[in-house]
Amino acid sequence: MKHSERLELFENVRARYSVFLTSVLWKLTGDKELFTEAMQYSLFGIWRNVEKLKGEKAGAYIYRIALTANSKAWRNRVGRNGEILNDPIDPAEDADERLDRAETTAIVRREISRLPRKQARAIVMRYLEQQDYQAIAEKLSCSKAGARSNVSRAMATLKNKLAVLA
Amino acid sequence: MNDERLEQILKNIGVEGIPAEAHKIAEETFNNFSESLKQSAQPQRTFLLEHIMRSKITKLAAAAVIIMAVLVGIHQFGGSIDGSAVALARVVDNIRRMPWLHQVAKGLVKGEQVILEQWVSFDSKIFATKRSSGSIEYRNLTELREYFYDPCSQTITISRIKEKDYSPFQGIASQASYLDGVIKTLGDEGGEVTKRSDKYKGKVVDVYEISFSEHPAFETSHLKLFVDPEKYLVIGEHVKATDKDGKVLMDCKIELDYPQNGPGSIYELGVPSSAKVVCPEKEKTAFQVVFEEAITAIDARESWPAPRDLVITYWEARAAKNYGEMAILWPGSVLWNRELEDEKPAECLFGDVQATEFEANIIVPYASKEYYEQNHTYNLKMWLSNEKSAKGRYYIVSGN
Repeated sequence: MKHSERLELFENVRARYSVFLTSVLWKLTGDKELFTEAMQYSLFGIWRNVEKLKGEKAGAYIYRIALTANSKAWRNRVGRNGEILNDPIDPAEDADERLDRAETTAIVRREISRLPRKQARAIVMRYLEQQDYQAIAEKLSCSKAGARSNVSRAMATLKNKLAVLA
Repeated sequence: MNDERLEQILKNIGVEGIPAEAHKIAEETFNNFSESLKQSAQPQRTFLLEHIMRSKITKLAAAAVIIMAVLVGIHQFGGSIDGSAVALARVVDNIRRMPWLHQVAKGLVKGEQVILEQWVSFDSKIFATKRSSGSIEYRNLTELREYFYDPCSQTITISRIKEKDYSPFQGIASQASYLDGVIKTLGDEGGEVTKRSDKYKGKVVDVYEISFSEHPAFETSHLKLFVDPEKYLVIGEHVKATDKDGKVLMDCKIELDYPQNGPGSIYELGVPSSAKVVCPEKEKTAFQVVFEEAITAIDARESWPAPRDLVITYWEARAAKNYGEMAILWPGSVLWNRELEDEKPAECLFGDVQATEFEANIIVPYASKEYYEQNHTYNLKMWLSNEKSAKGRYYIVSGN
């Protein structure tokens, strides 16, 4: 495929998915620096795979690209200085609660980035995008029960990981 | 942690609004990336060349990058030099396939002893240079960011690499740089490349010698590349240049290796984590420009709706595809609101205005009519702010 054709495809993907990418990556990262990094990885992913992003399966690829980008961004961050980021805080909470909540949220985000791709996608669709199981099933090409199962397996994985860290 | 708490955390993340800043970052990142792609017919190749063209080529830095420039130059311009250039082209391709190129250059440049270490990643588009003076430069062409560490002030200065500076070959003619001369001489006027076998550090290597003369900066320049004949990789270089009186201006030896990993950040090059980071004010971004235009329009209007009415008005404008009005009600959204062209008009119901922990921000909860009728609650939020309006008028900053 010619460079100009790839460029055109890239712009089409951008027009269609930039709001989605912004929303999902922000919710997955919750931090400006991580978000920027994840967005950059996503764009590289889109550019590399742009030929695949014109058919019916484009949406699935975009999810995959976004989740991979998110994982990479988190890996870099954790690998670099091991810091866990703070979320915006609620002044009504006391200091301990605030710290605990912010840290836990950051850990949950980080652990989502380490989930198997299908489970991560199920969690993102269910909780971050607030989709119902029917919609998740359609997007994951599985039954409604399968969608529930993916979400619950992801929750179990997350819970186990968080229990280890506790 | 129990299931409910985990679920609550996930739900909280889900209902978080997307701040305007995230849209801004996304927009800028997309723009930068698109622009870089448009300006480069063959991104992998031109990114490297562009970097070389833009490098602050001083002293030994010139020597260190010159070899790559010569190689790229030969490859890029088709290299009608002689048959040896064809073999060199294979070496160039091999080097490009390496995850990282690491080179250490030592030598004399205009009477000064200089040591320079450089890392290049073609895939990640990272170029890092560490000088004997202690200064470190880390350029990430993906992020279009340059990090420069000054050891005297122990400061890292982060600056943006402008997209316009990345147009391939831009500035070559005007700079009359050393590289310009090298490439022109080799590509247009014909340099000379010879190949022979010799030993380098006890190993039999192919030695490519490249000579050219009548250069604007040097009377003569002579480059030797020591190539591993099995791996087709340059493992050493020697560059020597003289002025018209035969005085040696540059005499440097460069050793190269190809590690699997390279520096992931400027800190991995030895910059202390205590270094102060400064990011000088840049020119206005596209987002800042359109945001300020919208705020000006908001303050210029004779009347302005109350917050809840503002949100209702926005959704009416969105349903009517009135992008001009949307751009004012949600400052900055002009950069992305046309992406909603295919969106089906949504019928929404709106709750009462809620305060937030931030004085300038309020929330208007809302939900689709269908969702509200099923659940009797609002699952979405529009965030409003009046921070930038001189008249204290609220506008939309985020929503989900």
